[in-house]
Amino acid sequence: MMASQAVRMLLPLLLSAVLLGSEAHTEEPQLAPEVVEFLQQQQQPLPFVVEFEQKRTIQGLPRPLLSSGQLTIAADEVIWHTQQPLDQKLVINATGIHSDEQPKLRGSEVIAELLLAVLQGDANAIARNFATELQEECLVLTPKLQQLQQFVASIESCGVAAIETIRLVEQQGNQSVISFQPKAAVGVEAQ
Amino acid sequence: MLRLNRLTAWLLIGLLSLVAAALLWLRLPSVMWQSSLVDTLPQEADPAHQVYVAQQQPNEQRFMLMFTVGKEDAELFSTALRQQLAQLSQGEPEILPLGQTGGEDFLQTYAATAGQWATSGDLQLLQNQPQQLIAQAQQRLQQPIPLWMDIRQDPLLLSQRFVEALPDPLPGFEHQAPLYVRSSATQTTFLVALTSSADTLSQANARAIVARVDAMLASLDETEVPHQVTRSGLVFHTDAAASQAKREITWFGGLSLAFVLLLLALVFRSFQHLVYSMLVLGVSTLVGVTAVVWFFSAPHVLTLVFATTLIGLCIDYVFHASIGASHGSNNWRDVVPALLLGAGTTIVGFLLLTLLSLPLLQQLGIFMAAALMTVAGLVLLIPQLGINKAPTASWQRLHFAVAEFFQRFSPRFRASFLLLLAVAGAVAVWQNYRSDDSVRLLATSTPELLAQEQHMRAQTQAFYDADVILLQAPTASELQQRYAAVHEHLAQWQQQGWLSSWQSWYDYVPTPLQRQQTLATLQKLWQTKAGKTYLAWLGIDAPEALQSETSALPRHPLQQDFIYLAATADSPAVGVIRLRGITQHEKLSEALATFSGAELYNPLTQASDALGHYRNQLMWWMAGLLLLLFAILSWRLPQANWQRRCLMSLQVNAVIVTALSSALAIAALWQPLNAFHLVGAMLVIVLGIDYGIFCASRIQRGHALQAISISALTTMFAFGALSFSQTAAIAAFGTTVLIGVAVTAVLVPLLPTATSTHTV
Repeated sequence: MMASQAVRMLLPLLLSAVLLGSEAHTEEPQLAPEVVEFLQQQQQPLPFVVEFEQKRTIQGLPRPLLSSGQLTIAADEVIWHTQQPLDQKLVINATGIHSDEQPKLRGSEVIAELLLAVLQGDANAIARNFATELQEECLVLTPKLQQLQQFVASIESCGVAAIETIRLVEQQGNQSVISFQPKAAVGVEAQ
Repeated sequence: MLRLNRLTAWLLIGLLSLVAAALLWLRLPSVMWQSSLVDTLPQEADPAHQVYVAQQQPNEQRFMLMFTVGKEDAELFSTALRQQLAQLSQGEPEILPLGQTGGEDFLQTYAATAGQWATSGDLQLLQNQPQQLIAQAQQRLQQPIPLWMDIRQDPLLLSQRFVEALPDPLPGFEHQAPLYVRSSATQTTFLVALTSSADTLSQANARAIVARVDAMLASLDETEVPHQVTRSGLVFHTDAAASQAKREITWFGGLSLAFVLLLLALVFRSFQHLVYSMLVLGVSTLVGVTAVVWFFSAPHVLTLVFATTLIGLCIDYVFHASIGASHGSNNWRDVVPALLLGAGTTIVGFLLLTLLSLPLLQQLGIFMAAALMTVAGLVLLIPQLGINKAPTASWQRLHFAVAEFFQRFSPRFRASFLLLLAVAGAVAVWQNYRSDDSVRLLATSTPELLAQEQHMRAQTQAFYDADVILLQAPTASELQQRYAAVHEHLAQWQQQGWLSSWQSWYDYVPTPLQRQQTLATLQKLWQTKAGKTYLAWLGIDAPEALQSETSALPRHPLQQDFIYLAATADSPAVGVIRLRGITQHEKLSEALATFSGAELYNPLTQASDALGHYRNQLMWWMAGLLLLLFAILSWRLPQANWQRRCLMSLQVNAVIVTALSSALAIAALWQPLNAFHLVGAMLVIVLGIDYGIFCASRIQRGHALQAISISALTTMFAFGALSFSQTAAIAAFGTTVLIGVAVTAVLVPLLPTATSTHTV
């Protein structure tokens, strides 16, 4: 006999897992000292602005998609402003990825957390979310989250004195190579 | 008169027990015991309803915990909670966070249909402003967000957009698996959705699950982080009900047993009657169960629950027989016809139950008829077994005095008084009659748990009403069409304020028409300039033109939660749309009536209706039994002529009607009448028949009253104690029995006695 008046319907909670839910962090992992040192070398005083060029290779497309723009990296958010070929501004912060069209992209919290961790050089966040490996001038980050592993194979952050390129390798075989060129250490532009 | 010695009598009892046990053992392996409420419903219950109710078990196995902590303690508490949840998933019974499995499968479903499914919003854009969809896809391809579908099949990224537009299960909460987290300026709320594969309706399983949860909560207390816990789930209510029942059984059972033992010790200075009563009850129950399993291939466990309660009235026969036997063989000759008449009438009465359309009552009728036949046979062996110790002299004197007191009134006065009382009682119950057959009477839970349920419901959107839209069709293909037709009106009904929200299969999958339109529109788009330009920008050809398969159900992990396909050829395919916040039941029902195979359905209402059906059927049964009683007694009572027999029969009926009316009228003052009052009334009527027949027989009145008093007192204590139960249904049963038996016992001495042909 049903004990309560209400029918409980928890099955759609599945969806949150699908839409890139994060996972349990039962202990605070530590990065290897050389990784910490590498990140410190890459670290720029926040906020700073860089020009970027993105070369996105998508499985099934005969040529990569190119885009470029300006990235403003602050302590609490990253403004991803694509200027070519289409003007588009994304705000990436702890609550997710927000665009002009959409207040918040569903399920983007974890991707946002990963991008913030990499772009800001946040050692704690990197330790929490990735297995790390140093390969010459690159730090290879592999997501720990099983749910995230469905989408992201690895993220490579390359550059010694600063982040020069980031390579985001997706599980479907797609990859984005984002190259940075420092512009100036200025204040965060108005949103 | 049976002429057997003691050994032969015991051997007979042993033989009967062995035969019954052997027959039971032989039959049991092929018996399919039913335990679902569905199986107690009237046989004409809609198969679609049965399918739906039978599919609700996964829902019953889910439960939630919510923790509210100060924001400053959130991180510390979160770490502790995650550790505890990890441990919770390792022991037995297994308790797992809900939603940790199936994600990949879920995503694959949408990846496999890339370029074929679009949300209704995207379909509109596709039909009217495809340029906008193209621009959004181009923008999306610039974003640093992974793509998980094949862009060659789905250049507009429609599948990815579909998944991102799926309903948010817990608005306001962020999923940080396995937790759902919501933060405000001062506090953080952690929500945990859990599930156990154990059957939470089983009391033992519920206890084990709650014990593990309690242990986890105790560990969290050790963190010394101040926090508030809210629980929600059937498992907690099942456990609370079981604990409550255990407490009640311990207290009420213990006290009534102590009273019965004390009474028997005082009256007989011996426990041989009690021991033999227990033996009679045991053997008769065995025979009753055996009869049920041989007559019904799928008996219901509730039959046993009710039957083992009602069988308690058989103790009455043991007292009558043993007291009758204690007063010599001549007296025994007067007792036997009364015993047989009482048992025979009651057996016929219970057999009448088999004519009703309710499986539970049919099974109960067979059980009681078989058990009573056994009881009647066993009590006839009492003289041979030597269980004939007379009550104490003081007990005998008391009842002779009572008998003498009542006989002072003239027979005319007594007859008139009894008939007037019956009429007055019937009028009273007619006037005060009010009924409520809600199944919620069966639920027992603590106010604290109920408050937590309400709190959880207020804080989350994870709950839907018991009302659902139920759809049925002969085939899955037809069901899709009917389901989609209703789904398309949900938004309109929401706008009209008839309901606040819903959860539908077509929130997760496009309707067959939408699928068809999406494919057709896309094919057209790729022929347009805008479409060709976009494909050229991507550098790919137009996706292969697909034909929409609208008849087959799309494969989807959630399908089994919305669509119940027929297990047998004659069962319909059933679909469900869950609803929340219905304000206009009638309008919604009327609107649904215009759709084929659609209805607004509430299993609780249906179960309540079934209980109401049981109540009505029991009332008809009681009326029939009283008529039958009148006829049998008018024929078989030992009075000299038929006029006297009719008048006596009428008075016995009057006593029973008065007892029933008083019990129901008084019980109705506490709570509206329901089927459980009527189950109590069954016991009252059956005992009334026995008491009436014994008083109307040739047995000396003083002797009859001695047995009636013991029977009435033990019954009133054993069942009357249930009046204090916290469960309304059980209290209803107890109150009816308590009042009904008391009134019967007080009134039966007013019946005139048949002239005894024997001296004592």
